[in-house]
This record gives sequence, C-alpha cells and structure tokens, in this order.
Amino acid sequence: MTIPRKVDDIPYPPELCARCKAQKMLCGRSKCPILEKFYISMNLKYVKEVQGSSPPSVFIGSKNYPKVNVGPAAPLKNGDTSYMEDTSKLINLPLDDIISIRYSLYRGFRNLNVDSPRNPPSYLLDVYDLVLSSKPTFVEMEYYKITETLQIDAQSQPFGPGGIIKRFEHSHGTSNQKLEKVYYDSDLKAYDAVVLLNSNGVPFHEIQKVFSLGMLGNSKNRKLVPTRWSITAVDSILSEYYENRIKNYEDIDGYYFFENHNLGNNYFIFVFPWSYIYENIETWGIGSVWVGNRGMSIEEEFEDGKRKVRNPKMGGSFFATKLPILEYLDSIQKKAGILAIRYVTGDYYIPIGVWQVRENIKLALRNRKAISNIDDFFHIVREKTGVDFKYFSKIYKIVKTQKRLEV
Amino acid sequence: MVEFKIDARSLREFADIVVSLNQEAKIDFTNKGLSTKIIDPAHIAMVLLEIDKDTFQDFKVEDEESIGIDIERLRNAMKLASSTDIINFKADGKRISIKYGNLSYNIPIIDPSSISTPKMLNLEIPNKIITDFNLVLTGIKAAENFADVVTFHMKTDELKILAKGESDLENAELSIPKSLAKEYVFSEEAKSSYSLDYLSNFVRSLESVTDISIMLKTDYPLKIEAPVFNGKGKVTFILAPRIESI
Repeated sequence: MTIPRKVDDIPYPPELCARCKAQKMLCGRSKCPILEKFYISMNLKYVKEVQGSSPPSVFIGSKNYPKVNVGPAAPLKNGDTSYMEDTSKLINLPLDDIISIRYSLYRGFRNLNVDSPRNPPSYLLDVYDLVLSSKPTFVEMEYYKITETLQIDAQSQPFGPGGIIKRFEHSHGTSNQKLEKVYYDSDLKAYDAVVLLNSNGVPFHEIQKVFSLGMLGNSKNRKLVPTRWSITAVDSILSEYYENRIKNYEDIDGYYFFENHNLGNNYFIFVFPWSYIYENIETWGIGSVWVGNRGMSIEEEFEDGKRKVRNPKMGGSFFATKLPILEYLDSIQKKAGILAIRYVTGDYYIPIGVWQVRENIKLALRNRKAISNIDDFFHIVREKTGVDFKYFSKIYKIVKTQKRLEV
Repeated sequence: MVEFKIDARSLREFADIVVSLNQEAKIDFTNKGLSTKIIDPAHIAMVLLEIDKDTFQDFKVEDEESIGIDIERLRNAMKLASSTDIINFKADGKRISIKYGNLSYNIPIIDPSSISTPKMLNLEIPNKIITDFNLVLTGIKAAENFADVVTFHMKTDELKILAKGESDLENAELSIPKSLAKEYVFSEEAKSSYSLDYLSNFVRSLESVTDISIMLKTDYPLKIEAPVFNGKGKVTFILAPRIESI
C-alpha cells in the first residue's frame, strides 16, 4: 500500500483520524500515514553511544505488551537538562523548540516483562535509581543498534530515537525524598501514593514516571505501565480524588469564563453553579494535523457524578482537561458544572502529547472572567472560532431546559 | 442510641428510594418514627420520607437523634440478606451495626452536619389525580424507550403520559381516564415535562406502593405522594420541570 503524500489524500473521513490519533490504528494500516511524513522529514542522528545528563527521563513502550521496552532517555549533552522534562517550562516555548528539545532525548531499552517490578532485576533497579534522583544525572548508554525512530504520540511526550542497549551506567546523586518515601513504602496502595505525591507538590510528570515504572503500590502488585497508559491512569486517579473532595462544597457563586490560546490550541472553559457534570468538546479545525483539508472534526463527551466516561472519543485529552479544572475548584472550595472546548488550528502541525492540554488549561485558569450566562459563553466562542458549539453541547441543553428546585 | 428490627425487604426499599437521589442521608429519629429529606446534588429533585414506628419491631430511640448514613454501604451490608430476613439495626456512638441470621456488619456513621438537607418546598398545585401505581409505572417505562424526557398532560377527563422520539413518527402515550382514578381534582389544564433520569430512578425504587397521587401544574415542579410500607409510611417526591423550548 502506498503512503499518501498529503493528509488530504487519505481516503477516510476526518473523524476517523481525529479519534484514532495514531493510537488505535482504525484505518487498518500498521503505520500512521499522517505521522509517516514527520519520520521522513526529521533529520535523525544515529549514534552508537550516548553520554549526557538525563533530566531524569524514562520511556516505556506499549508494543509487544506484556513484554515491553523499558529504559532511560538522555540527550547528547551535559549540564542542567531538567527543562527538557519540565512541562510547566516547555509549554512557554514555540512548537519547533519543544519538538527539537524532546527529539534530542535518546532512548535506551531493555525488554522486560511487565511483572518485573515485583522482583526487579539489577537493570531496572538502576533505572529506579536514576528516576529517584532529584537532579539531572549523567548517564552512559551503549547501543547494539538504534532501531526505533522518533516517538510521535498524541498521548505521551515526544522522544528521540532508541534501541536496545548493551551497557547502561549512571552517576549517583542525591535522591528526591518525596519519591523515595513512597517507593520504599510497600504497603501504601498505588492510588494513595499518587494522591500523596500530588498533595506533597510533586509535579505530574514525576508522579507519572514512578507510576509507569511500577515503583508505587503494594510490592506484590507492582507492574510496569506503558508511558502512554500511565498518563491517563494518573489523570484519572487524581480526578477521582478531587471529584470526591468537591462534591460537598457549595455551588460556585456565578458563571465564569476562562480562555487560553497557545501552540495552535484554543481553550475555552465555562464553569457554572451545578453539581459535578463535565463536558468536553474537541475540534480539529481545517488544516490541523489529524484532519488536513478533509474537513472539520468535532467530538463531544459528557459525564456526570454517576455515569463516567471510561473510553472517550477524543482520547486522553478528556482526562487531561478535567484534572486542572477540578484542582482549581478544590482550591476555591466550590462545586460546579464544567464545560471545556478545545479548538485546534493548523498551527498545531505535530502532536506533542496531552501534557500540552493539561498545562494550557492550567494557564487558562489563571484569569477568570465573570459572564452572565451560558449563552454569553457560546457567543464568545463563536466570535473567536466561527463555530456555534451550542448545537453540539449536551450541557447547553441541560442548563437551558432543566429548572432547579429553589431550596 | 437508636435500635430497631425490620424485614430486609422494607429496609432495602427505604435504601433504594434514598439512593435514587443521593448516596448519603441524614435521618432524623424521634420516638414516633423516622424521617429524612434528600436532595440530589444538582438540586433538581427531592424526596421526603416519613415512617411510623409501627413499621418496625422493638423501635427504641433514647433521645431525638440525627444520624448520617452512607446508604451505599448500608445496601452492601444487606446484600446477603433474603427479603424475609429480619434485620437488627443499631446505631450507637460512631457506628451502625447490622445483624441478620448469624451475620453482623459494622459501618461508620457520617457526621450529619456534613450532609446538606433541603427545606421542604411550599408548592401550590391545583390538579391532582390518585390512581393505580402500576398504571403510571407502565407509562413511564414506555416513555423510557423513546426519550430522556416525559410529559404529563392533564385534561378535564384524562391524564396522559407522553414521550416523543427523535422524529415525529415515534412516540408513546399512556392515557389514564378519569374513570380509572380514585380521586380526580381538575381546576386547569396542565402540561409539563420532566427528566426521566430522575423520575425513572424514583418510581423504580418503589416496591410496596399500590396507589400514587400525582400533582401537576404547567412548567412547575411535579409532586408525587404515595403511602409506603402498608400505609405506615409516606413518601413525597418533588421534581423540577424541563422547559422544552430553547
């Protein structure tokens, strides 16, 4: 089968690609024709050996589950490389810079069974040691051969090339005590460990790393979790935690609007007095990466306190959008209904992972604006995107038609 | 301290009614019986449940007392009881103990002040029909096949329960003529729509109900009253309307 030269030549409806995002392979091909062009166009440097400071960074593949590729990632340079992993800093850079930084992280692998954290081999213990360090750590990796190209993914952060490694060594530094404490606590459940780390102020990407390496939870149940899946797992755990906290708070005292426009992604958030209900609408506009000029794609998901969405059509961004908003509501001790719209333009020409969604939502939440009702919200969004989203919104229908008891 | 015995079927019905709206309940006990007011988190529906002490055996309340219960936990504790089992309920200090057969469960009491309870609404509703509960249940079940909203329409001589599907060709309609009503008070024509989400959960939780009274006014909360537990208790349900034109 030939690879189409342009996204527009792909003979499938745009919605198929917007739902798949090269993860579900809904078109039946083994490689995504949209991402293929990036693999070809990127100038890759194939090396035999990597010597450099790991931020620290790790990657766990999902191919061949339950025997997965696990290992560290490091650039070909020394010094303070922590910015390469810190999503709260990366979000402020242009897209070109983000991908060139992330693609310079070379990945080293060994193939391990997902059960190996129950009785970790020495290689895995070395990786644990690396991840526990509180500062960028010097590593040396020697490859048999680089076999994997770039990791371009809608879910996880981008990574550079990788291959099975012969040799892996790293220097030892001081450990991150917050991480170390939960790692050695083999009675603490993984759920509680994630919540504890979060309330201790450990950033999301660090929690996700130790979670994916099977460093949390009861030692009999520890497991490796592919990076891609671990992100949604941590998002879901923390969302559940915050949702339980906010449900007994008072209703928010008005209608509020938040927005942020960054990296070709436009976010519009509306919170209003109600119990917890959450709707996410994701739109890939003409020219954006998954749809090209084939047409616009709009996906909608809705959940309430009782019926949860487990497998949203738009993928992990559903969860990554929800978490910062729930955190925000907890910080002001209010409960609310939540409506979030994401509108992606052609400026977002390559996917860089759902961390971008989470960080952009956080930035949006810094400025709140009072508006008078839900119609105002849809009016503002229509002015800025040209799309009248109220026809797609279940929350609009509920808020406009369902009266509440005045008690 | 509160202590009583009750058959599992009745306690289960009580729990089902409460859980149709909220997982937690603050229950007020006096020496005459118990009562509780529940509102769903979105403030769309509420229930008032009053049960006379004669429903129970060996009903003992030392002082007037309010107890917070996680109803989902109570339901789990009763999972293994058959409907005729007699359940021993005792709330003392910080926990509730549930005993039946040779089994005993303990569940924690929730601080009642952490559970918000609504004021009872004063509604003035001119129309009222008392009729067979199963008839109304059939109408609501039929509506569930088509829509998430059901409409009640009361005319001089009949009450209609209607639901419309996505196209005009799809609909369900149940008619209850005045002749089938035990009581029919009509003062003005009324038509109003309600979310089936709430209504279905509520009516499906009723086990011991035979007659039901429905009070209806146009674009106004719906009020349903029914005797429960062989007439020794009473349930009142209020549901805010849906206004269909956007």
